[in-house]
Amino acid sequence: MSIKAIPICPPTLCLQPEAKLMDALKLMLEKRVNHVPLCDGSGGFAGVVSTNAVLQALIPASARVKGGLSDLRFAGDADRLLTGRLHELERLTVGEFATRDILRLDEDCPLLEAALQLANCTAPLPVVGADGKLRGMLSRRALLAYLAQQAGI
Amino acid sequence: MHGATSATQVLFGLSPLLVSLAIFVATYAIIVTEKINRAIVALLGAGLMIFSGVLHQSEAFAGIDLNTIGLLTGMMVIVAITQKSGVFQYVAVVAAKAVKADPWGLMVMLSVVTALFSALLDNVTTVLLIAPVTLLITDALKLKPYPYLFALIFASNIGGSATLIGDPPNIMIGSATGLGFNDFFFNLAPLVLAVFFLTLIPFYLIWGRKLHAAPEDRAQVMAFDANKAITDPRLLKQSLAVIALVILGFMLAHVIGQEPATIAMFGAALLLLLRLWGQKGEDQSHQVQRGFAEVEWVTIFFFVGLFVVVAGVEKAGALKILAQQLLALTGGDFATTAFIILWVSAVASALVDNIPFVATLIPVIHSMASTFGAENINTLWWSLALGACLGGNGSLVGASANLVVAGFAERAGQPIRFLPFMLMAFPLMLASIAVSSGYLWLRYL
Repeated sequence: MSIKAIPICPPTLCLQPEAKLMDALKLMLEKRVNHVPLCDGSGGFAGVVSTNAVLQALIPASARVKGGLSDLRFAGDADRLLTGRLHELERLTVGEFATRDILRLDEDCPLLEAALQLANCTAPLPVVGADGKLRGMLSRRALLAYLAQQAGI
Repeated sequence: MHGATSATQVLFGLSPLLVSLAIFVATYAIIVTEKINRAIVALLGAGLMIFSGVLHQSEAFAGIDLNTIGLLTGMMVIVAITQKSGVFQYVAVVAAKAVKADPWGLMVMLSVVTALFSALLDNVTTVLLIAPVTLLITDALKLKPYPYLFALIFASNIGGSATLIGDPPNIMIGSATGLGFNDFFFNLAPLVLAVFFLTLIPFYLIWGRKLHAAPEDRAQVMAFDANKAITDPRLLKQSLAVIALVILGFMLAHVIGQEPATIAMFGAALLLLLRLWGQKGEDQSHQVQRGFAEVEWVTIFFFVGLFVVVAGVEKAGALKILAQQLLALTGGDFATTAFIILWVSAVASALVDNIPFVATLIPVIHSMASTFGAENINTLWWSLALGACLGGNGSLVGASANLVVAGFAERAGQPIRFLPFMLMAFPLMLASIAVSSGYLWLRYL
């Protein structure tokens, strides 16, 4: 049995790569989701934007990268630093910001493999058809709900 | 020292001189390409020196300078434990606030802090811990970090030149000659101080006078709370006490009749004891493992391999021939020899790793003692130390600390490019060597 059987969330929140990053952020805050997939003009999967990626981008590089500062308490609120960086992100589109190097699941992926991949990451994974088009985002919650239903729990 | 005639039983009856030279050249050539980890190359070269029959295993072991290895390892353990206290970030923030986050003042203060730490601890750790906080402060001030990172590299290599423990070449020279902490400090520190402040002049002309930060951004840095950078006050006190004791030990090494390796290793053990006092056995094992794991074993094994490779060419007589050639080139003139060692060391250290270069030159200079007299030979050691340490500023690959800063800057999206760096750094390095030449001339020649 493959993940095709799972009624995954349809890509209703899919954004075009030309959309503004701040619009995507507002959308994620408003809809209470942490990830939004991107689709190109023909529906092909083009990456994911996430609230975590936006938050990461607000943190100074001096702390964000490997070997950087592991404790920033001494820097206080540094609100100018944080809001200043948010303003810098305003000029970006989601296409420029999106993570493309992301694990994706084929729609024929077996359930066990999907369970393994989802257990090893912290975000929903895009499900992509053989035609390269996005079918939706599969979350751990959706997989568990399906398995619970199958087990009659 | 071994004589050329004692090299026997070399594979297929080949000349020990040729075999050892072939292994030596191949080892160094592969190290320079940086295609294979340098520790592996050095250890393979060492193994070949033994397998080929140039050295017996006992002779190879005798060639390893355990004083250098012990001093490096001991200091690495001390620094690995100390850095967890947050002291580096604390000092950097205090320094930035002392100049009210003025951009030029910040560059001077961060350079001073880096130079001081580099003189007393190892350069790589110093820049590894100062670079991130430098980047954070320049970020808050909306300043380009490049000039500050450039200054950090220079300060680290200049500061490290001042003491026995500041830079690996000095540790090697000190161990091979018996010159102590005070010898290095009193002979090199005055010059290093002059070079440091003279280097600030071009920094000011190139960058300092143009740097500007908005008052509200400076206020943001002034709001940094240095005390919160100290993550473990108890550890800080323990570390500072042990470092002070170790440095005192280095200063009194001749009086108490102990070698630097013993002092550093004892300090490392003492700091571990203080750190782990009262903890359960299992926790102790875990912490000790972590402390030892942070020793840069690649560097340590690199040294071990190199010492054996150099022992091979030394035993085969190659280094004696090199020394004779060098003396023939200088006509036996002491001043010319000192200047050649200084300038060649500087240029070589800017382009290749200075550790193998110094490891090779130490026995060469040793063998010159009979020509120039033991009482004069120290000048040649200062030439080598200054050339090898200050030369590291000449390019990005000149010193490990340079590569560490460049690597961090790259990850943080502020890459330091090889050629633009070298175009500015190499002339500045040559200027520092010119100043060193004047110093050697006035003081010793």
